[in-house]
Order: sequence, then C-alpha cells, then structure tokens
Amino acid sequence: PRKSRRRKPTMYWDIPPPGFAHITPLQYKAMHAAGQIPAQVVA
Amino acid sequence: CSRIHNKPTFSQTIVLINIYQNPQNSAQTADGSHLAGISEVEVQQHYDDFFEDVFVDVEEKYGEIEEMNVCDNLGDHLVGNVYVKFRKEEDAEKAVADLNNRWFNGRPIYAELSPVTDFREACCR
Repeated sequence: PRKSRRRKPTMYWDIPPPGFAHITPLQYKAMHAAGQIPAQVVA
Repeated sequence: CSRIHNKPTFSQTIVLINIYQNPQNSAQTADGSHLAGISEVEVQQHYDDFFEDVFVDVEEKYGEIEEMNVCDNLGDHLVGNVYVKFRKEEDAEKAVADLNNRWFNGRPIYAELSPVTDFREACCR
C-alpha cells in the first residue's frame, strides 16, 4: 500500500457544523435548500 | 458571461465550490479592523496548510491529481472555489459522488464536474 504523504493531521476534513453531526451532509444541504437552516455566517 | 455554464456529464476536472476561505476575504468589519494581526506570512501559511490538506486527502482517496487550483479572487461565483484535475475521468466522477457527502471545516461540500481542462484558458468569454 502507498505510504501516506500527509505530514500532519487534517484541520478541515470531515468536521461537521456544530450541532449537525447527527445528520449527513446530503441531508444538511437538502434542509438548507428548503430554508430549514439559515445560511451560515462565515466564521 | 451569462454564468450559465453547461455542466459536463464526464470530465477529469471537478470544482469544490467556495471551500477555501481566505482569512483576508471573510470581511467582518467595514473598517478592516478584523485584519489587524493577520500578517502576510500567516495568510500564506494558512493557504499552504489548506492546499496540502486538500491535495493529500483527495489524491489518497480518489486518485492521481494532475493539477489543483484555488480561486482567490472576489467574484462571488468564484471566490474560494477549488478546481482539481484528475488524471482519470472515473476518479473525478468518484470524487464528486463521495465529496458531496462529506463535511469540510464545519460546512457541507458542494462538488460538481467542471468543463475546465486547461486552467490557462479557463476564462469565460
């Protein structure tokens, strides 16, 4: 198997929005599109 | 440009929409005071960390990358877009399907196939 080229642990990948870890990104996007989740304020 | 772009059904290139957030672009104060304390060096470090994190993960999980570009201009349809050109079309297809169901930095990823094949010619006319 290929050796990982990662030098340090990820800071970004697979980090859900606070409070939404229990749903999938697809569910989140569907809820957002339906207006059930307000547009996120840029952190 | 009408911004009505044909979305290809297959392509080597994918776009991850608005995934890069430049600390200098996420303007939060009208007078720019939120920029105080962010040096050029820190902004470059932030970008380098982001680039490596994305590149390494995507290449390991989905396949060999030929080229990756991050949009840092302020066009509202471009800002923070990341374009990844894979060697194989099937890797791009696989990546779009999987990335659309992953989180990144507290947000869902919006991934789609892109018609761009040559980044030096990627100007809409």
